[in-house]
Amino acid sequence: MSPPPLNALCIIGPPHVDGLRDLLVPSLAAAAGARPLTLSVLNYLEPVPLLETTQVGAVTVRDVSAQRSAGHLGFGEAVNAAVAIVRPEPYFLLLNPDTLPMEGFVDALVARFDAASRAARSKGMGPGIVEARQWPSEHPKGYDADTGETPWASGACCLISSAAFEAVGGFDPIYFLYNEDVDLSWRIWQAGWTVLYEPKALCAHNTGLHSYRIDRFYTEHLLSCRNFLVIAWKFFGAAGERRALALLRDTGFPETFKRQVRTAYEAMKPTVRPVSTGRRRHPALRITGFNLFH
Amino acid sequence: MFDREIAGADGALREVFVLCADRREEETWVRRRPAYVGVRITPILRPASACETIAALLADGRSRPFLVCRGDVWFGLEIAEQVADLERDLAATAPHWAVCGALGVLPDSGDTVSFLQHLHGGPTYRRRPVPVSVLDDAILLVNPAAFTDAAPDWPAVPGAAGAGLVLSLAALLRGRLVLADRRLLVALAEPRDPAATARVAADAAFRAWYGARFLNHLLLGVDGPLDMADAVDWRALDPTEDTRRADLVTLYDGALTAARRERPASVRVLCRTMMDRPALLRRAIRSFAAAAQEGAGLVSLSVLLVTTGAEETMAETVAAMRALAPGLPIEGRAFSVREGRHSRMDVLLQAIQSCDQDDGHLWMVDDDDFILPGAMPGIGRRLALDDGCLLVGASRRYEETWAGEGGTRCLDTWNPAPEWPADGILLALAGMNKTPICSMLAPVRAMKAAITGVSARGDYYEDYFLLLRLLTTQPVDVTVLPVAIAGISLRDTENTVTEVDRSRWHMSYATVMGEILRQPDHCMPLAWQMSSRCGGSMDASGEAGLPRWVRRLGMLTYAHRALRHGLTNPRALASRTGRFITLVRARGLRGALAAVIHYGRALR
Repeated sequence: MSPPPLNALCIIGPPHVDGLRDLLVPSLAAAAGARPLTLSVLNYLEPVPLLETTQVGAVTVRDVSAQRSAGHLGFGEAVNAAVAIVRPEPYFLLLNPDTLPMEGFVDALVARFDAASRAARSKGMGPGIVEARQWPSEHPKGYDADTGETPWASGACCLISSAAFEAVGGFDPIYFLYNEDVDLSWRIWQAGWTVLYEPKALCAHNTGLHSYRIDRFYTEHLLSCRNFLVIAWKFFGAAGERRALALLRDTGFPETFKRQVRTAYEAMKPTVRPVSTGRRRHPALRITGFNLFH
Repeated sequence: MFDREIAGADGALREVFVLCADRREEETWVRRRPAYVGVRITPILRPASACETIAALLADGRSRPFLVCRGDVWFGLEIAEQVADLERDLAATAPHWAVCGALGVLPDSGDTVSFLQHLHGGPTYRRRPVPVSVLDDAILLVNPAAFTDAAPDWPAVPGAAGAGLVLSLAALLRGRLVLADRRLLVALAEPRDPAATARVAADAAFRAWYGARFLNHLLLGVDGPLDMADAVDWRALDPTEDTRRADLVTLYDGALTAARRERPASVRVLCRTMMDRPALLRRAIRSFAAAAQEGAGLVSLSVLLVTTGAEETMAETVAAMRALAPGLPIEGRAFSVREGRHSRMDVLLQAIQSCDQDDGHLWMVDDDDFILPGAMPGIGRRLALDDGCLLVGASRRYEETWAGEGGTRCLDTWNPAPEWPADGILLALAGMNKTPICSMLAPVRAMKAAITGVSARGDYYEDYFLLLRLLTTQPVDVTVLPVAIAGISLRDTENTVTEVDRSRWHMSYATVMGEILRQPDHCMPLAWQMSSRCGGSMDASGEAGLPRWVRRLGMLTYAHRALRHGLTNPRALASRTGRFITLVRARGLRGALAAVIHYGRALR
């Protein structure tokens, strides 16, 4: 009997098409084995499909871009749109176009999810996200070796519970890019699900980070700094904002850059809806340094 | 006195404009004029702005490249021939060029390429023109074909300085190449003023012009980084804003790609495999495929799998790897080990000789190693205009454990160990093998010539043998890329470097080195000769011939490295401590000794 089918989502733009076709899809086919898997891709730039429907091994690739609304979408907003179109059940794999799942990746994630669901049946709501392990550079964050629990999961390669995703309202589109995965993880923890890490699910991640140079900053620098202030304000209120601003001040970034970060944050702040965590703030929600959450 | 080519098609002299700081300098140049053949020297006294002067010279409708230099330089008597030769070379290899100088900066590393002679140093040894991002203005060869705008828009930076910097940036904005070349070598009568570039960068007009065009907050200049943070518009980093600014290195890459005229540098990965560790081979192939994507435009990457195993198994392996990386050209070849030879060495020799094309580079990456993300841009930039160089990068070692068996084997743990630095190549000619084979990209033609007629009876040290043959028999230039380009997998078993019985290593070293030293046709580079003259040795560690106090210092350094590595890699320290305790429990004192030796090898 073949394993149950699985849905995977990938948000792409025109520069990702070759990598997706020549790297991600063949690797995913090898990693999926006999498990039927549908990889739905969505163009974040405009509602124009970039790929033909294809079949590679047990993987069917289809482009759902034509079914989305107009406009340049941020990452979280694009994932929300893809989930609304595909309606995956009971979970979906979220993959960056620059990831390469290794052998055993899919089975390891699913097995962890299923085992955690079974274990939670009597106790609580079960896993919300199961994060894969990235190679050759891992996020330097800890996890509980016995339970697999981790404060937050990277959105680059993970398995997300559709019920948990829907219950918390999906990604918060306000971030546009960066830190939305920390925000989702925290809301999932707050809502009673768990965020887990599965070290046996290995995924190469050829992030552009490896090519970053010292003579310039990248979009990631600006938006992740701005979004750090956003997430601090959103979850920790005025005290969190004060602390985040102090941490920003202490970074070695150029003063004009910090000013731009603050300006961008101030412009965004009125649209941020603070999360009411009350006195029962989950211990996974913590800021340990500038853009550090573990 | 000079031929028509030197003088130009119309028989005109090469124009040289000398920007003189004072009347005395101007008079000196007037007196110097008769010594130079084929050039027309025009001193310009105290220009209000060198940038503006060059703009005016371009506006005069010149079609032929002309020289602009400062008054305090001396160029050689054969300058006209040198420039004509350079012009011919650029027309053939880099027709997209805009400006060429004697001192420039590589944009991704900040390293300088200098053909200036002054009190503190001589020129760099580079025979081919080197694409750079920014030039000094000691001497500039300006190509009017690259600046065809009716009125150049660059700022009129006051004074004699700044033309090199401004023209370089203007050229990159136009998609043109900026180069430093040996044929523009000049001697300086006065030491360079390192503050001159900083004064240009502080000029308000320059900062406004720069900030409206570029997003690089550090401008890597010839005297170090220039802080432009308060000039750049940070909104350019926000994809939701309309503000667009150029990245200097992206412009540089674009100019290189255009110069290659759609013919990216060719790199063939030679991957040895016995096809008995498919999980590692798949990882290697994925890394090659990702590298091919990363280097697209500048490098064309292909893979040749080579084995001494069965031909049928190789055919199956190639088919499986092509399915895993359909966009990557993969071929496979099986070789029989020739009589009296060993497989590790012989498969490489036969694979190199079997290369059907002589141009491009070979990158020997075994099936348990891999190309690191971030490697390709630097490689592409350095190979773009230099097909014949030996490129050496750094390599990063990972102590790995793998779980499972055969096809289902998967990576369990990995800990980064210290890197092999790229400049370890300097030690190759002092008897020290500090350059792993996957750290170097060798030119095919030179590599084939270097192994022609070799005996090569050794088994191990094949990488060192190839490197020494290349360096001692072929006229290759060495280019060092200070970036980790390859990952090396260290495992408890399967690695030849972790073999406890070293007899094959010793036998191979004696065989390989014996052949290197007895070759009648090769030249022993000066560095090697001097290292043995000064008490260096030809053993693999390079330590035996050193005085005792140096060796003691080495022990201290080793202890310091061990401590530092442990402190900066707590996860590695924890893993090694765990391993140490396990081995002590299992094997007592012998176990402790084995753990220490293993750690020592990893650190070296």
